[in-house]
Amino acid sequence: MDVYLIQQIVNALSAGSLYALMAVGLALIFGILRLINFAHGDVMMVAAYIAAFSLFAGLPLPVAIVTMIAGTVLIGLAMERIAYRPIRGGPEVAMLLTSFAVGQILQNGTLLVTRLASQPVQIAFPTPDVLSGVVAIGAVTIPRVNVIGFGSGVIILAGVMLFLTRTRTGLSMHAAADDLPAAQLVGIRVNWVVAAAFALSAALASVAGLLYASQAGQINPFLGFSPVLKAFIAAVIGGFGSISGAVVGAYALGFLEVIPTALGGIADILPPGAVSPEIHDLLATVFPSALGSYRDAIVFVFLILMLLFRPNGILGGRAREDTP
Amino acid sequence: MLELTGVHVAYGNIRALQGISIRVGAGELVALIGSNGAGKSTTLKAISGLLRPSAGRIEFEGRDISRASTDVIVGLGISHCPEGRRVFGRLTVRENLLLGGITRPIAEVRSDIERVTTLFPRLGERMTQLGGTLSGGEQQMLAIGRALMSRPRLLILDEPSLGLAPMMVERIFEVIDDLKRGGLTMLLVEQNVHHALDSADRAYVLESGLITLEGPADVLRRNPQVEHSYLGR
Ligand SMILES: Nc1ncnc2c1ncn2[C@@H]1O[C@H](COP(=O)(O)OP(=O)(O)OP(=O)(O)O)[C@@H](O)[C@H]1O
Ligand SMILES: [Mg+2]
Repeated sequence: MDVYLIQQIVNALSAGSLYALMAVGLALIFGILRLINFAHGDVMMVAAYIAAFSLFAGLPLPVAIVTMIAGTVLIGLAMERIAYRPIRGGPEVAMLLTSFAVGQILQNGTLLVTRLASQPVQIAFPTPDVLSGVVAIGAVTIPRVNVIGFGSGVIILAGVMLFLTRTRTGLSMHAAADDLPAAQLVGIRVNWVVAAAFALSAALASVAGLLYASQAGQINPFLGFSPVLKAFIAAVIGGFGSISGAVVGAYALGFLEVIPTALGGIADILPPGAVSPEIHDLLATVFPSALGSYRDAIVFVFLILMLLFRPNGILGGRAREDTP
Repeated sequence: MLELTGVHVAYGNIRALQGISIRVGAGELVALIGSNGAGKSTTLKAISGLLRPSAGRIEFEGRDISRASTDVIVGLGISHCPEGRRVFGRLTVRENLLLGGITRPIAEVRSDIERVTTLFPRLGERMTQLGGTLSGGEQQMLAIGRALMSRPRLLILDEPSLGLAPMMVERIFEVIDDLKRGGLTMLLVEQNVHHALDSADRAYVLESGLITLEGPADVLRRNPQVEHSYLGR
């Protein structure tokens, strides 16, 4: 039971880190441009492919990671320059539709590249050794990627928070989100700040892509859909556009997702005699072992309840300098 | 120092400015007055590069800035304190000031923040307060302080007394007079025409996108048309 619980908590934290890496990027861009960048999941997908091909090519892991981050940042910058800058300040619907189009282009472009490289649509991800296997802490065994995923997520997010609140570029992002013309008037180079925000969110998405692919073991050009949706939900839970809200929402979502799995079949996991037979039966009825498969349904019900009763998110109403 | 020649600005097919010419000499305080919708803010936005003139020339110290971007214009020494204050509400007073100095070397920004808080002690007491939670008067001080952080040689003020209580209006004009004595060149848009003409050296009257009157402030103050339309006499 203890072992099981610890495993579930680590799963939640690891998923939370991954969602947070994605959600921060969404919140950053939304804050400044009012653009919900649904292509963000596809940026993450492309990162996974760059990592895979770099590793296939025999590059050592650190070099492959640098290549992945650099390549993904370039794609993020190109996306901003070619697709989003021309319609900046336009109707939000136009920007949203553009982001779907960008996503399609990234998916089809990746498909094309895999074809040209004579690879199947779905390929096995060459998970590096440091991200495979399990770590054993006493009786608990946890997939190593989850531990590293959680840890690296926390470190990177802490760095991003410091950057956003302690550097002039980070504060410029807040200012641009707060009042774009006023930011321009003090001499902030808005084009530069927007490009920096896209570069940062692409870099974060690339780390998420590596973690995601290492967990899944397989990659395909459509894998970005679920993570971007989860990141969007995380951002909504936290209060859309708020950076710290996105982080809080992401970890909340991580826990929310493991609860059905953890509670499902809990009656069978309890040591014999721990509870009376009546309570055992009650638990078995309320939390059937199949509960885990309703995970996404439960998450979406929660999302709907959030939107109905706390549309500004968990941190909504609390205004601090975290809405770029 | 600043020279606008035949400047036109249009919003779609609304012709907001129809060929205006304005000159601001070094050390001068020039007031631009006119009724609502005359095009005063539009003029200021064209100078600071937020709007592109469709025709005409804007020169700052002999250099054509009519196509330059706002950050370049700020770097050249023009600072525009916008109508409605527009402080960054979710950033602290200190962060607002810090960003006002974004075009300056970071090492000098710290001492400049001290200069601004000497000018506005109220801001110094509220450095960690969020801009959005300041009173209207404090926000106006912050907006002016933030505009001064770029060490402008030309300060553009758009209705700094808007919506302020009489005491605070006095205080703002004291600051403007102080800055003028310090040698700063200013272009001032004001609804408070009495005060504006008291402080200004020269003034322009803008009506429906055209300059209809110009001259020394004390001459314009006695002009019957100005008295009737703007001084309510
Ligand atoms: N973004 C815009 N789009 C369309 N028309 C605009 C826009 N901004 C200003 N205008 C129009 O341009 C004209 C001049 O506006 P401007 O803001 O320059 O006036 P103003 O003299 O500053 O007035 P006020 O004293 O009320 O601030 C007005 O008729 C206004 O309706
Ligand atoms: Mg105006």
